[in-house]
Amino acid sequence: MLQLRDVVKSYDGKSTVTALAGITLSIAPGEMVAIMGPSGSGKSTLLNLMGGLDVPTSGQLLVAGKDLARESEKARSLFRRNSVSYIFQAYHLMPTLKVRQNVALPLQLAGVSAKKAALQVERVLAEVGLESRGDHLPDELSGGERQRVAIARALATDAPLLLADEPTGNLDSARGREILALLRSIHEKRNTTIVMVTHDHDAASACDRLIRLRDGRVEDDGVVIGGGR
Amino acid sequence: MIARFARPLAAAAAALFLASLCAGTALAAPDARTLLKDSENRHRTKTQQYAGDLTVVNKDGKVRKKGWRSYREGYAGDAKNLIRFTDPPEVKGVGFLSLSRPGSDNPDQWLYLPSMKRERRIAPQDRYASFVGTDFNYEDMEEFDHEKYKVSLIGEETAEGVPCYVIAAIPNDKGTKSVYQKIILYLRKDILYLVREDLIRKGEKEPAKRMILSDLKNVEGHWVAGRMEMTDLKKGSKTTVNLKQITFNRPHPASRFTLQNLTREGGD
Amino acid sequence: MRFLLRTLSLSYARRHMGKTILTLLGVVVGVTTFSSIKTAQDALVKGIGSTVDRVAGKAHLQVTMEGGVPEEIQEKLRSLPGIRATSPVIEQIVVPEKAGLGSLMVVGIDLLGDREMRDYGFEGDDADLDDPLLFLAQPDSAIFSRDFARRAVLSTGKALSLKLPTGYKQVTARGVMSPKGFAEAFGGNLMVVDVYAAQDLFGRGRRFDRIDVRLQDGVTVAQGTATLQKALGPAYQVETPARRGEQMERLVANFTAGFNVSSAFALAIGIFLIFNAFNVAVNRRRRDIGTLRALGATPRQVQVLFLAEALILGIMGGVLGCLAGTAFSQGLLVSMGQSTEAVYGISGSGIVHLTPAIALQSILLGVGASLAGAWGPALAASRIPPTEAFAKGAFQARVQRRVAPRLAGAAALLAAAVYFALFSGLSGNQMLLAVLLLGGTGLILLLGPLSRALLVAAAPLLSRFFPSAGPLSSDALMANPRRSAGTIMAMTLSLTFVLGLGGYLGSTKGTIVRWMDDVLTCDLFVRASANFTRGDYLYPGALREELVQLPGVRAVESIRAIRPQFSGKRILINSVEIGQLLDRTKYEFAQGDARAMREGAPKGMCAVSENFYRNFHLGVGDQVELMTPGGLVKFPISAVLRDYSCDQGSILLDRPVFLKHWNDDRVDIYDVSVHPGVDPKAVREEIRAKLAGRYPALVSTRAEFKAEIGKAIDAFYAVMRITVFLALGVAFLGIVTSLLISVAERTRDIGILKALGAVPSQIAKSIVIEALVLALAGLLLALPAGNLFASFMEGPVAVAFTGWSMPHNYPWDVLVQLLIALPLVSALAAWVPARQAAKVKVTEAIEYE
Repeated sequence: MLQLRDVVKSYDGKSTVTALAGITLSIAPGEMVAIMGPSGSGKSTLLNLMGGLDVPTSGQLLVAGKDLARESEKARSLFRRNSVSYIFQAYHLMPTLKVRQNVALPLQLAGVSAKKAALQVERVLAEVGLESRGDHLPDELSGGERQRVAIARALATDAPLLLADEPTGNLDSARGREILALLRSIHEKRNTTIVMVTHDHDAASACDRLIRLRDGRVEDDGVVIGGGR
Repeated sequence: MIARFARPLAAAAAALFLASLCAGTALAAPDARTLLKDSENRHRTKTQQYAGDLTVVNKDGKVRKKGWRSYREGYAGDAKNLIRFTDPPEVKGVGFLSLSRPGSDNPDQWLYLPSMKRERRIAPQDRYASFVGTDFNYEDMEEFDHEKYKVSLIGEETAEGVPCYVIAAIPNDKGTKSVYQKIILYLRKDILYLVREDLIRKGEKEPAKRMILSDLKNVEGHWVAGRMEMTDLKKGSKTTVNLKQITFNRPHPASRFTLQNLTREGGD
Repeated sequence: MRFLLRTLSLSYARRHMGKTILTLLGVVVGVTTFSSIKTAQDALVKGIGSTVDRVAGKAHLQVTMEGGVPEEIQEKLRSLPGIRATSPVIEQIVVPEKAGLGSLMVVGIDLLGDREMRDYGFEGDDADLDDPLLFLAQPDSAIFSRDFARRAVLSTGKALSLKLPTGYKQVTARGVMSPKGFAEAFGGNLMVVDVYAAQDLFGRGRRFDRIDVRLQDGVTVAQGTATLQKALGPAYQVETPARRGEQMERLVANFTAGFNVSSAFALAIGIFLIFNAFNVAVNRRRRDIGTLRALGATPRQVQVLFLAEALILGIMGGVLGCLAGTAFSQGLLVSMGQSTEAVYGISGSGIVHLTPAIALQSILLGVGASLAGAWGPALAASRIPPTEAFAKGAFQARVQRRVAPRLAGAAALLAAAVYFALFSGLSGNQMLLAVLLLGGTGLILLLGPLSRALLVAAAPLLSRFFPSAGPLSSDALMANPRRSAGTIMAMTLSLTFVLGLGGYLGSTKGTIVRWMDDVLTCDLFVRASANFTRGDYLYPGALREELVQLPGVRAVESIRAIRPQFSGKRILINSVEIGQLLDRTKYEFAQGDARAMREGAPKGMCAVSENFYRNFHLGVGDQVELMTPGGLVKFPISAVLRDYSCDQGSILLDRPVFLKHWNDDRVDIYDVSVHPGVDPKAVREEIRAKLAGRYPALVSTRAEFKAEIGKAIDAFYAVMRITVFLALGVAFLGIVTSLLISVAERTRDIGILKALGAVPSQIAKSIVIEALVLALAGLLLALPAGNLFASFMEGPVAVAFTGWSMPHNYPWDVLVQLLIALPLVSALAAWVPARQAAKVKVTEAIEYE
C-alpha cells in the first residue's frame, strides 16, 4: 500500500528543524496502524506525508510503485481525492455547511453527480449512525457527533486509505471508545487501511500494529498484543 | 379673396345689357375666359371700403371674433388693399397691406404689429400660412386675377340655390407659386357673380376648403355679397366675415396704400 | 464548482452578511461613480445634439455669424435659387422665477412662416395656438411645450414670470405644443416666442442668432452650401444642423472628459476595497481552504472558486452600481449642465436614460474590477498548503516578500510616468491616461513596503503614548500586514486625490485671483448679461459717450468679446480701447511688453494670451489670420501676455480695429473708472438711473465682479469638488471595512485579552487607535504623492488642455482641513467596530474555533 524509504522532512526557518530524520517503513493493505510518540516526535508530519499533503525533503514515498514526492501538486491532489481520506482531531468541518453538505464535499470535488452523491451520503451517514442529523450545522452537534460526521466524510469516497490525526483527542473517554469501535468496524467491514496518530493507549490498542516515534525516528514497530479489541 | 369678393358688381344698367349679350352668346356655349372677363367688367369698381365682422369657429365650436376695416383701390391685377383691425383692443391697430406688383406673380404683403412698432414682410414661402388664425391664408388674401390661371368651363350646376356656371381654374405653370392645384368657381348665371369656390391644394384631389358668398345685395348700384364663409373641410373650422357699411368709389387719400401709412399708429 | 459556490460560498456570504455587503459596496461605489458620470455625460452631450437637431426641424442648413446675423440677410437669402424657405431664429436660455422648473430654452421664431421649418404639433387634439393674431399682436406671447406647461401649471392666458437680462418679466401662454419632435428639444423645457419680440427681450438689436434654411427638393446640401457661402462671404458660417450640433457636442464632450479621471479613480478605489476584502476572506477561510485541499481540491479549483465569487459579486455590484448611478446621474447632469453653461454658454437639459451600452459597460467594469481585486487573493488561496488544515491556533500570516524588485519596479514606473508627463509628445487624453496608469501602478507597488515600514516604526511610539491600548493596536496592525497595507493604500490613494485635486483647484483659483487683481482694476463693471461667455444682451456702442458724461466718471472702456472658431478651437477675441486699458492694468508679459502692445494696437496689431501662444504656437513676430465679415485679415502679434479669460486662448484687439473689421459696434461690458475720491457706489446709482427703463444693467463694483467670476470658476470645478468628496467617502469606507474585519478576525484574541483582564474601554480604545494609525499613515504617504499629483495637474495636464501653466501653491488649507477632519472621520469609522469589539463575550470568543 505505502512504502517510505529513508524519508527526511525538515523545515527551514531561522534555524532548521528536522521533523523526520530518516524513516523507512511500509504499510500493507488492510492494516490498522497506530502511530504514537511524544509531542514533536514527528507523528503529524509523517501522517501528512503519507496523505500527500506535504512532500518529504528527501527520501522516497512510494504509492502503487509511484514516488509521491516526485509527483505534481495536481497529481497529489488527485491522489488525496481518490485514494486517501482524513479524520482530523479538530474535525475540520465547514462550519457554514450542513452535515449532509459536509459529507458530500469530497464527492463533489471529485465530480460525482449530485444524485449519486446524495445516495452515498445517506449510506455513510447511516453507517456512522447520523441519518437523522443530515440537516444540522456542525455547531449544533456534540463533539462525538462532529467526529462521526468527519468519519462519514472520510468514508464517502470509499478511499482505500484512511488517515486519522488524534481522532479521539477532543472527546471524553466514552465518546472516544465509541469512535474507536466505529473505526474498527469500518476497518473490518470494508478492509480499509487505517493509519491513526494518537496519544491515547486505548486508541492504540484498538489497532493491529503500533509504530512509536521519537525525535523523528522509528523507535519501535510491532504487533499490538490483543489488538483489535 | 376677401377683397375680391367683397367687390361690387358693375352698374345695374351695364349689367342688364351685358346679361342680354351673354344670353345671346350662351346659345353657342359660353367660353370660360369670356365669362370671367365679363364678370370682371361687370363688377369692377374703382374703390371700396367696408367694416368687417370676423368670426372664426374652430372644430370644437370655440368662437373668436374680430373686427376690421378694409380699404381697396384698383381691381384684380392692379389692386391695393389695406386692412386695419379695430377689435378686440388687444389686436387694435394691427394692419395688413397688400400691393399688387405689375409684372410680378405675387403681390407684396406686409403685416404691421403696433406693439413692436414694425412691419414684417410676408415672404412668398409663407403664402400658404393662415392669415392671423383665420381659415384664409395669405394667398386667399390676394386679389384674384383670372389672367394668372388657365380656365375652362366644366359644366353648369345649381349651387347655393341658383343656377351657376362651373369653371375650373388652374394656376399657370410658371405663374404664381400657388398653394392650389385647382380652384372650382361657381359663377351665378344671371349676374355672373361668384357664389362659391372649391379650393383644391397641390397634390390633392378633394377640395380642402370651400368658400360660400351669400346675402347678395345691391349697394350703391353694385352687387355685393354681404357674407363670406370659408370652411376648412379638413380641419372642420369655419371663418365668416359679415360686411357692413359698404361704400364704393370714394376717393382714397394718395398715401393710404403705403408702408409709411401702414406703420403709422391708427393710419387708415 | 457550482456546488461549491452554491454551498460553501453562499453559506459563507450568508453568515458574514455584513462583510459581504461591504465587499459588494466596493464594487457598487466604483460602478456607481462610473455609470452616473457616464450616463450624465451621455445625456448632456446627446441632449445638446438632439436639441440642436430638434430645434433645427426641417432646416437643411443654418447660417450663423459671430455676433449675430443682420436682419436684411434674410431677404438676401430668400431671393437665392434653390431655397425653399428661410426662417430666422433666436435662442436663449432663461430661468423661470418660480424655482424647481429648471432652465427654459427660449426659441424665437417667425411664426408667420415657420411651419415650413418646424412642426409645432398644434394640430393635435387640444393643442393649438389659441389666437395667432393675439400671439403676434402682444409681445409677451409665448408658446410652451405641454410637458412644461403642466409642470409650471400654465394654461392659455396664464402668465409666467421669467428672469431676463432686463429683469423679471411676465410672459403669457398663448398656446401649447404637443410633445413631439420640436417640442421635445431641451428636454421639453421649451418656450417659443416671436423672433422680433425675442430681439427686443434679449437685446439682439436688428440681428438674429441664425437663419435656418430649407432647400428645394432636388438641391443637394453641398449645392445649397455653395450657393449660400458664395452669396454671403466668408464671415458667415453655413453648416448643417448635424455639424453644428457635433461642434457643440465636441466642446462639451471635451470638457466632460475631465470627469473620466473621477471615474477611473472611483474604480481603482473599488478594486482596492475588493482586494482588501478578498484578502481578508482568504485569510479567514484559510482553515477551510486547507481542509478543502486535504479533501482533494486542486489549487485551480480553489482559485476558480474565489474568482467565481468575485464574478458574482462583480455582476451584482455592477447591476446595483448601474441602478444607483442612474439615480445619481440626474443631479450630476444638472451640475454638469450648469458648468458647461457657465463655461461655454451651452446649456444642456435632458432626462437621463440608462442606455444598454452603459449598463453593459458598467457591469463589465464591475466584473473586471472585482476580478482584478480578487485575482491576487484567489491566487494566494490556491497556494495555501493542505497542511494548513492541521495547523493549530490562529493562522499567522508569514510575510516573505521580495521588497527590492518591487521597489525597483515602482521607481521605474514612476520615472516612466514623469517622462510621459514632461517630455512625451502624447496628446492630452493619452498623456493623462499613460501617466495615471504608470504613476498609479508605481505608487501602489511602492505603498505596500512603505506602509509596512511605517507601521513597524509606529509601534514603539504607540506603546509610549498609549501604554495599555497602544501595543494592542500595534499587534492588530502587524498581525495582518497585508490588510493593514491594503487599507493604507486605499487611504493614500484617496488622500492623494484629495490633496492633488485640492492643490490644483487652489493653485488655479489663486492664479486667477492674482490675475484679476492685476487686470480688473476699474471701479465699476456695467454689463447686460449675467452669463460671462454668452452675451445674452448687448449694449449699443454709443452708450459709452453717455457714461463718460456722468459726474464722477473718469474713463470708460468698451469691451466686446466674440468667440469664433480658430484652428478647430473656440477662442476668445476681446476688443477694448487698448491704450486706456494699459493705463490702469499690470499685465505680465511672456513676450513683448506694454509699450509694444500700446504702439502696435492702433496699427492693427493684436496681443495674444500665453495659452493661445502655447496652443497655436503663434507669438511675437507671427501673424494671426482671423476671419472677419470682410474676409480673412492678418493681425501681427505685438505681445504675449498672461490672460485667463478663455481656456482655449484669447486675442486682444484695439476697439477701432475691431470696429473696422467686424463692423459691429455693440458692447458686452463697459469698464468704468471713477475719479479719485469719488464713491463708486454713488456713480453706480447714477449709471442705474441713466439706464433705467432703457437697457438691462448689472452694475457691479470691482469686488462684486471678482466674486462673481470666482463663482463662475467654482462652477467650472464643481464636479472636481464632488470627486474630492467621493475620495473622502471612499477613504472612510476603507477604514470601516478594514476595522470591522480586523475585529471579526481577532474575536478570539480579544476574548483572550478580556479573559486576561482587559476592560472594554481599553479594547475600544485600541480599535480607535488602530483607525487613527491607518488614517495618519495614509495621510503621511499621501503628502508627497498628492504634491506630485497636484504638480502634474497644474503643469502638464493644464498645459495640454488649456495652455495655462499654474504656479504651484501648496494646499495648506486642504491639509489643515484633513488634519482636523481625518481623526474625526476615522474615529467615527472605528465607532461600530469598536463597540462590536468591546461587546465580545469571553466564553464565545474562546470557543470561536
